[in-house]
Amino acid sequence: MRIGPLPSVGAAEMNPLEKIQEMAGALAPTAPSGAGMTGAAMGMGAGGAMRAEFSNFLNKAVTEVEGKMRSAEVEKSKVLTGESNNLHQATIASSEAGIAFSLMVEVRNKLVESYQEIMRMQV
Amino acid sequence: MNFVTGIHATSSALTAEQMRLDIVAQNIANAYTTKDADGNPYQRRTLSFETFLGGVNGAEKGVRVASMAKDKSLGEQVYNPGHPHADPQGMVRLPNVQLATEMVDLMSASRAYEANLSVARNSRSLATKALSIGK
Repeated sequence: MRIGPLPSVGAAEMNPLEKIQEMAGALAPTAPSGAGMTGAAMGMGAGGAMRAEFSNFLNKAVTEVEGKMRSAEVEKSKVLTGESNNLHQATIASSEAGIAFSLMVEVRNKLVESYQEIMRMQV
Repeated sequence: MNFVTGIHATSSALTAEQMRLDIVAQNIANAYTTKDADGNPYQRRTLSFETFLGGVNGAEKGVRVASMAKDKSLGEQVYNPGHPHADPQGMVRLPNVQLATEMVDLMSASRAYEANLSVARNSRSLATKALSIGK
């Protein structure tokens, strides 16, 4: 699998997903203040609303990916402890989690890429 | 969000086929069991499958084991007076398990399992390929 060793449910502070969630959260407050400072254009307000929506989407995606990873982890530990012998369900769950994770990484890469594109812009 | 389409149906089919393999194993293991819990020779078990709705918002048709039945046909009778389960005439009733039939069942179940694995592998690689659009 492409996913490295997952932190256990208890060790939440180690979770890399929470960093991305923080990032997404940081996007949200900038939207209303940006719209408030310029205060004028309708387009800016609409952009702010869109940005808030996008951060919501990202947040939701991260939560969902995390849920998938947790359920894959539960499934895997069930197989390892001998509680169930559904090896295929464990592999399917972890491959689903892997795909969801790569989708999230892809979205994040696009986000960073567009940010860098804007930073390179000549003014 | 469901990225790997049809995976719940495939997963349920894998579970069902695994059950079928277990039943074949049980039949082969008891091919010479002349006395089971209720005193009769072992009767081979057979499974029947049925469709059920499951997966994300219950839209995927999966498969599950509907029932397990005993094959009621009588097994072969052999003359073996020294056998502890022989009747007064010295005849022993063997289980109705035919090893050839069980092997064929085993092969078809394991091929069906492989087919479902290929479906899972294929839909996973489709999802991965779709992700590479963005690269």
